[in-house]
Order: sequence, then C-alpha cells, then structure tokens
Amino acid sequence: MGGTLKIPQQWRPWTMVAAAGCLFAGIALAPLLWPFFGLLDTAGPAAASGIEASQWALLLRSLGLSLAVVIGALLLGIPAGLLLARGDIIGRQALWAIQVLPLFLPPFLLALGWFYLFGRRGVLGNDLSANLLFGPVGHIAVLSLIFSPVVVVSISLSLWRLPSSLEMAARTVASTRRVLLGILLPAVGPAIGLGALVVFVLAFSELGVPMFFGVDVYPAVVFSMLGGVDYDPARASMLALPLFPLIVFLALLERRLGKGWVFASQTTPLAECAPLHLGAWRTGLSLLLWLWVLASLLPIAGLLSKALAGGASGQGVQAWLGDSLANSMTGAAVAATIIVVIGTLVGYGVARRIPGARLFEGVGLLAFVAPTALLAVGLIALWNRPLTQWVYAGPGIIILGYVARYGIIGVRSLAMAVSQSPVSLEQAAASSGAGFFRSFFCIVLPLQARVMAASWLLAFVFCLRDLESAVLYYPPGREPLTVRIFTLEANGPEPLIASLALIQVMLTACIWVALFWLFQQSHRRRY
Amino acid sequence: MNPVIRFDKVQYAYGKHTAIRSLSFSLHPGERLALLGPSGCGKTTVLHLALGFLPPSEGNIYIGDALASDQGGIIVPPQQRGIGMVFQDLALWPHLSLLANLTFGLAARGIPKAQREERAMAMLARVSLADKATRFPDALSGGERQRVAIARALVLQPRVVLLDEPMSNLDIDLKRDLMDLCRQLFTENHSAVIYVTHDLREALRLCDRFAVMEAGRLIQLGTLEEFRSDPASGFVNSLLRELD
Repeated sequence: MGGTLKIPQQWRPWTMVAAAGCLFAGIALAPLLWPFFGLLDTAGPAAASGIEASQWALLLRSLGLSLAVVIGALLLGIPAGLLLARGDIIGRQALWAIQVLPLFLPPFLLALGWFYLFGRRGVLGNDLSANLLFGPVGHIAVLSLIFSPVVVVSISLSLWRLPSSLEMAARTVASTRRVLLGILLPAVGPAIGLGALVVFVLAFSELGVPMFFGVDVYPAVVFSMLGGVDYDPARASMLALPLFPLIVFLALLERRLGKGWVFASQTTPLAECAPLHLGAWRTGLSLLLWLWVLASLLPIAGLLSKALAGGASGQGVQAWLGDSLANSMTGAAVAATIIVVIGTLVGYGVARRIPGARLFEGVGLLAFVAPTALLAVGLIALWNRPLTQWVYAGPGIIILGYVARYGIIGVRSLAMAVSQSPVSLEQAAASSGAGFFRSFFCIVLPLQARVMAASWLLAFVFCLRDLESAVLYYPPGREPLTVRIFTLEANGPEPLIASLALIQVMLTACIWVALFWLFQQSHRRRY
Repeated sequence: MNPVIRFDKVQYAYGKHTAIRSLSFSLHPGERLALLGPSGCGKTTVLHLALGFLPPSEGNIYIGDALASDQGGIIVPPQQRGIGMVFQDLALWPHLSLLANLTFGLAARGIPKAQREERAMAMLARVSLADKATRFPDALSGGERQRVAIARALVLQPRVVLLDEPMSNLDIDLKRDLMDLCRQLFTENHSAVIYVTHDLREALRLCDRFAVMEAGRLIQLGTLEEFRSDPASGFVNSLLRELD
C-alpha cells in the first residue's frame, strides 16, 4: 500500500477549490448556523421567553437608522461618484484617492474626532452642536459621511469598466449633463444598489459609533449580553436569530445586483478615456467636492488638535498602547494572508465556473452581510469549549472572526481579476504539456500577483479597522488597538486617547498609500 | 453646393506618435465615402476628429461653413455637429428600451414627448422593429441590433452619418440585406456618409467614392474607375485584386 494518492487531472481544479472552500465554509458558515443548534441544546428559559416587544421595536429602529445612513451616503456619494469618475474635476485623481481614506479608518475614531471638534467642550462646539452630535442626527450624519466613499468607489469602478462607445454615442446627441444623468447614471444603477447594500450592512453592524453617541441599536443589546453585566449567551443567540432572514435577503439582493447590465466590450473602457468637460460648472463643482473631502477629514484634525493639546508624553502613549498595536498588526496580517490564500483558490473557481465555487462565494457573502452580533454569537458558542480553549483564549478567535467576516474581499477581488484574464493563457499552458497545478502556479498566480498584493492590503486594512466584531470576543490581554481605544475612551485622558487614535490613522494612511499605488498601476490612464 | 464636412490639412498626434498626417478631404450632401485601410492606419481616429471627440493637433475641421475644431480645441461640441454615428460595437444602451434608445437624442433636442415617440416609432417601423419597441437590446438578435443602431443614428436626421465597421461580425447574407437597407435610408435622408471598412467589396454596395489610408496618410481618393486606372500603392492594388 505504498502508492501515493493521485488525483486524476480533470478533478484537480475541483479538488483544489473544494479544499479551500470547505475550510472557508468551516470558518465562516459554522458560526452563522451555530446559534440554531445552540438553541436546540438550551431550549429552556431563554428560548421560552422569546424576544420582547421593545427589542422588536429596537430592531426596527436600527433598520430605520441604517436606511437613513444609506440615503445620506447615496445623496453624497452619487454626485461625487459620477463627477469624480467622469468629470474633469480639478485634482480629480488626488480627490478620488483622498476621499477613500475615512472608509479605511474605524468609524468610532472619526466619531471621536467629531466629538473633539463639536462636543460641548470641543474646539468648535456648543450645546446645540453637542446635542445634535449625541443623538440620531449625529449618528446618521457621521456614518453617512464615512460610508459615502463606498458609493463613490462602486460607481467609479462600474463606470470605468463601461465601453467608451456608450458614452460617445450619447455625446453625439446630448450635453455633458444629460450624458451623465441620462446614460451614465442609469447604466451604473446596479453598482449604486450594490454600494447602498454594502453601506447598509456596515451601518447596521456598526457598534462603536452608536454606543459612543448614546444611540440605542439592536446589535448593542446583543453585545451587552456577550460582554457586559447582562451576560447571557443563550439569550444573545435568541436575539441574533431574527437577523438570519435579513442576511439571506441581503445576500440574495447582492447576487441580483452583482449581475448588472451586460455591455459590449470591444471598445476601450471609459477608464482609459479623457474625462467629460464640465464647462462653466467645473470650478464650482470642483470646489464643492474638495469641501466634501476636507469635511470628511476634519475629524482627523480634531484628533490632532486634542493630541497636541498637551498631556500626552511619548512614554505615556507607549504605556497605554501596550501590546495592542502588535496584536492589531499580527492578527490582521495573519488573517489577510489566510483571506488571500482562500480567496485566490475559491476566486479562481468562481471565475472559471468550477462546480461548487459559487456556493463557497455565497458563504463568504453571507458572513459579510451578517451583522457582527450574529457572527460573534456563533463564534463564541462554537469555540468556547474545553477542547478549543487554545483557539478561544488566544489570538486564533480574532483571526477566525476576521477571516469569516472579510473573506469575501479575497474571493471577489481574485474572481474579478481571473475572469478578466483570458482562459486561452491556461489552455496554451495545457497544450504545452503543463498539468493543472503547474499551469495554476506558473501562469495564473504570477499574472495575479499584483491583485493578490492589493487584496492582501485591502483585507489587512479592513481587519485593522475592525472594532465591531473584535470587541465582542477578544481574549483578555489580546485586544487590538481599536478595542483598546474604545475601552479606554470612557475613562482615559483625552490627549492620550487622541494620540492612540492618530497612531491608527497613520498606520492606515501608510497602507492607503501602498494600495493607491497598486491601484494606479493597474488603472493607468492614457490621458 | 457647399460641403457638409471638410478636413483641411488635419494632423493628429497621440504623444509623440502622429496618427493622422495632413489629411484633407470634403464631403457633399448625399455623398457616400468609404474610408479603407489596414488596421491601425487611423480610420477610427478620423471619425473621432469629425465628431469632435478629439481636437486636431494641426489644421481645421469645418461642419458646413462653420469652423468646428482647430488647433486650439473643439469649437462646436459633438452634440451640436449634426453627425450620427454607428459604432463598431453598436453601443446600444443596455438599460434603455429600443424606443428609449431612439428618443434619448430627440429629448436632448427638446422635442416634446409625443413628437419624439412618434418619430422614433416611425424610424423603428422603417427598420421593421416597431413591434419590439419596448424590448431591451439584449433581447434582440445580432441583425436586429444593427438595425436599431442605424435607426438611432438616423432618427435625428443628421447631415452626416459615420459608420465604423458596424457589420464586421455579420454573415454575408445579413450584411448584404443591411447594406441595402442602409443605402435606402441614407438616400431618403439625403445624409452624407463616411463608411469605415477594410473590405472594398462591402464598400462598393454602399459608397460611390473611396479613400484609402495608410499609416495616417490619405494615399488615394477617388472613384473605383480612378483607382483601377491608377492605383496609388500596393495596398490599393491588393484591394482591387480582391474584387477579381
């Protein structure tokens, strides 16, 4: 029986995708389904008491708040997206790059920055501004501003892929305004829908901003039963259940919107064409967009002013920082690496239509659209057992949470990149005698190296900014920087908190520069 | 009669690469010119210059009597030139119905809704697609899409229609039928036509004058008889041999 296991050539792609996909499903799907099984085990007082009417009302209120954030983000993001992607706005590329930065930062830090500016004791604050900030208005306004780049990015990526002839055909008969509103805007309708959906998901899962502004939201109730004085995981499972139909609906909606329109692709994409002339509107619109971007960066100025206000010595900052920065970096780096490995294998399967791959992609999608409270309940129930304490009590649980929540980033980016690479390149390798694995490792992977690097950075930055999931299950002494800032904020000295926040901002800014450089390399424009 | 479009010593350069060199020609109402040449010779660039998508690096382009573009840039924007275009990939807007594809340009002209729908329906009827007016482009066959693209270019009754190899992906029978339809429609509309192709046989079904370009230069301009009596280059000779 000394023979080695030989996988037939035709099964090799499927085997590879299935192995990665099953690992991914184990990490991402099991925690989502676990609350159901957990409830069957503990069908006692918690299940019997059900969900109170006030909690249903809170769920509805949270959905309403998230919808309001979506509307705010769309109102800002749609005009900005159209103009930045296709208008001859002054400093267009720089603006596009800068506007993304707030999205990469933990929303809670930006809320903190707004508080330092417009809180009662803030640089520009008074009673009115503080009252507005600490309530639904502040919550909706701050999150709308932070998440509007999602809409801008979604519109831009969709517009840049459109064949230029669609726009040219419109320009032969209509003015720039009509081309933008009559042709380009409807053409990116599905992308706008997709952006709105992502904003909704992010807004609904957001924990730091509503808790900081004192706005009651449903995920915060689940959080209080996992990490607070009301500790009751069984009840948290019960509360998480109504979220399940919501995520299935959101995942199906995403699949529908993701299809978009089918465009002819013989002509040059719009990314390579000169922008549309805005004529007399150019200066005014450019000014408005610069104001919008500067406003979104204003909270960083708030953090800076507080940090410079005094009282934050280097030693003090280091002491308060502890191991949290290292925890953040190592956790995010390991998770990003796993995300890219799984994403490359499953994404390849999706692009090449290998059976089962779409199913695994769907798992990643479910885990992403799932409110973090649901994911956290499952992760805790699944891993908080005597046999798996080595995972639960160490950095493993945070890494698993990151991979589950952000795994879709790797799958989607690699699927998109591989699908744009001609299959004939692999067919040529096969006709030259290369087996599947040789073709995959020598042809596919080197071609996608840049996308893999970008995908790693993107996953890294999303793990780094994560507060809402890590805060629910971080092991003692292993908290990442975002959680450290969040937990210290209530009682810590403000200049020190602001300094810690600025460390997070600077770290993110470095990654953002690297990401933008990679993005520019792959979207070089002719003009 | 004044020309509807005139290129006067037009030059166009992408960075250091000169794509069009000292190009001069004019087109009169109802005249149909085939622009022939190998791939990359600058045919599509000529169309983009005519439409006002690109400004010439040197020289002038006139639409009617008006200076439309010069070295300084675009003077008359594309939507005011009265030029219709049929793109190589047809560029039908996939999110708009056939009727909406045709009425978009009419709406931009400020034509009232009832009138523009009437005009669009009449044009769709002319290309035998009136019964499919509410359908979307992806529900049509290849030949039907070509007819919509031609109808969309003509519904505004342009002075000039540009066609950028729109029939390169069709089979011979379908191509012949469409060329016959185009000839009828262009004659009815009195539109001047610039038809870009690399197939002289195809050009002969539609055009009465022929221009051959090579490496951005106009090598020869004339009728088939003039080409036959004095071919200006090896490429012109090879085109003529394809007819034999």
